[in-house]
Amino acid sequence: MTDKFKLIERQEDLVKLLEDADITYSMYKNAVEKYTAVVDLLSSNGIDSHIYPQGSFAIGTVVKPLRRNKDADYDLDVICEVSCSKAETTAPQLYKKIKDALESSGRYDKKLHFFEECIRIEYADVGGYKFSMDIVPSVPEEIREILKMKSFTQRPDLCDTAIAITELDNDSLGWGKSNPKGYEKWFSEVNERFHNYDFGVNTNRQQIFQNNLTVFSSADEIPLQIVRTPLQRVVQLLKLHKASYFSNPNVKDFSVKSVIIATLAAHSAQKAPAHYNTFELLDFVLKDLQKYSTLKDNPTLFKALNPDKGIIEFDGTEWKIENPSNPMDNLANSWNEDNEYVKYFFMWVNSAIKDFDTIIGDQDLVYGSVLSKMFGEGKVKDFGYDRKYKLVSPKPIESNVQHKPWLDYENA
Amino acid sequence: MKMLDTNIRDLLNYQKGLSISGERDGRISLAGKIFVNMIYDNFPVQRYYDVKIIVNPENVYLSDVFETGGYIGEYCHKYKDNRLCLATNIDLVISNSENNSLVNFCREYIEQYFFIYEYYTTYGFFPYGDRAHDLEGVKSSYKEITGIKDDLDLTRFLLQICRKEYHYRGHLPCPCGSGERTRKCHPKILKLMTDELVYKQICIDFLGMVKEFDEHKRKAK
Repeated sequence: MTDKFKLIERQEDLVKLLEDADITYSMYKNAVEKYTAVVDLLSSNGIDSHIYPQGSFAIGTVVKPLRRNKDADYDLDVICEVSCSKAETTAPQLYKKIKDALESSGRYDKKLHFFEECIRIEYADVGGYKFSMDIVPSVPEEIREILKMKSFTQRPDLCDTAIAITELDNDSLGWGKSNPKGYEKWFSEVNERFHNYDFGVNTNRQQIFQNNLTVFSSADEIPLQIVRTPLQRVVQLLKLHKASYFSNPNVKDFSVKSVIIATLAAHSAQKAPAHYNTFELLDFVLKDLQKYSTLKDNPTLFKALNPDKGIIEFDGTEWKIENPSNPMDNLANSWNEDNEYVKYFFMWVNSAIKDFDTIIGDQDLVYGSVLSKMFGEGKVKDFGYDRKYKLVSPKPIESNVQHKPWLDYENA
Repeated sequence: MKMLDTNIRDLLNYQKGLSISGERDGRISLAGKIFVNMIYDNFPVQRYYDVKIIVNPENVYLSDVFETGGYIGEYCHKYKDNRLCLATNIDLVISNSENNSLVNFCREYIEQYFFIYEYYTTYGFFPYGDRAHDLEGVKSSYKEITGIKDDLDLTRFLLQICRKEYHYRGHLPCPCGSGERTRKCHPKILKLMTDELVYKQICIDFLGMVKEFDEHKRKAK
């Protein structure tokens, strides 16, 4: 077998695992039915609302949690936008209104959990995964605020859909700003290029059609929300790798937010050729992000040498990653609270480059180990890849044999 | 204690990628690939590494180990000749006193060395710390073994251990100066003293500490 064939085979194996980690059409349909049912219930209680997904579900980058984590939930985050102005209600009043409607129905009973900022409904297992829906109450943002947002951004057209969501502020519930529809619109625009060009998208669409023959009469009927482009696959792969990297208890507090991954990947992808497949785009995005690692050492020199690079900004004191749909939202806020976030972001990028490079030419065992880290040993075994890549379970290092390396300069 | 031949055969049986590559100055060298398969903090390492091991017949834990595949670049715990700095000599010698098995040496030190390297390059810190270089690292080993934190107290303690005329018995007052009997205060040291190689290493390290102390005194003047 030549190296080229091996590369293709390894890529195919990774895509198969990724497709399995993605939500199925039935899970997607199930989720839509569930939040539509909530809309109907609220309507019957006199609350005129519109529920729509936000986050990874909205932009098509959901990945199922690893089965190795028994408490892993498959979370769906939705916005419940009520047709009412901010002047007519307060955040606590809106929250209570929705809470009372859900409770009084008796339909959800013990499945309801009330958190400070959102309401969670836990459903029965869907395909072996615990499934829960977090509902964030919201109203349309005031026009004055929208105009303010528009004055700060190069994309004022994205701001019209801005909303005010219930958000905790110093222990009391108030209004926070958000714009998930605007974010979805921005991401979809970047993603469109890859939809139109990639043959892999059509392959993906055909595959979904084959797997759901009783549902669709043709591949064209398949909703765009479940067809995946290379950009969406790249975001999914990076999220999976991030989850594996930050599963180390010593660094888990500094994990990279999924919205940062999606935003940076999409920004980078705007400069990539539209014909790139998932792996070419993955390499392009990671190498692009890696270049920003020198920004922290000398921001002035970095800007002089990289005038076209502005996804991640640093002026020597403040880090900034602008939310494309909300100029007031700095996605890198936590980076300014603790420099460890910055350090581990770039270390994670380097680790991702090293791990994804194992697709090309590294030992079978090493590549298999990467698959195992990202998708779980159980899933890799289900696909028979443990035999294919000669994997064995790693042995834990016990506390009584933890030896520390040392160097003797005299003998160096 | 294991005979050397048996020891080497056991290792070749355990790490099947290794084979005998030669002999020089009475030391047998092994070369080939070793398989590392470990996990800690949810971080797994599963990989083959190219190594050469020059077996020390007197103390297998003091064998020289080299990484020969060019995989490890610049690293603070590797010598310029690609010899790996596995641990302080006293740590190694104590492990040897417990069992002089090449298999255990490979498992606990060589394989773990590569695991630690991967962990360090991924996260930027060592999973359970590393030793400071040179004598500071050596002292930290002794401080862990004895529980004595002060450098001067440690040196005095080791002096008592090294003195040949100090017929070491458990009922005598502990050389750490606690006033307790040794068998109650530092029973581990009591046991270690029975091993000639451990005793020899303690003396070497003690002389190193004395030399450093003299240097400081001279500089202070």
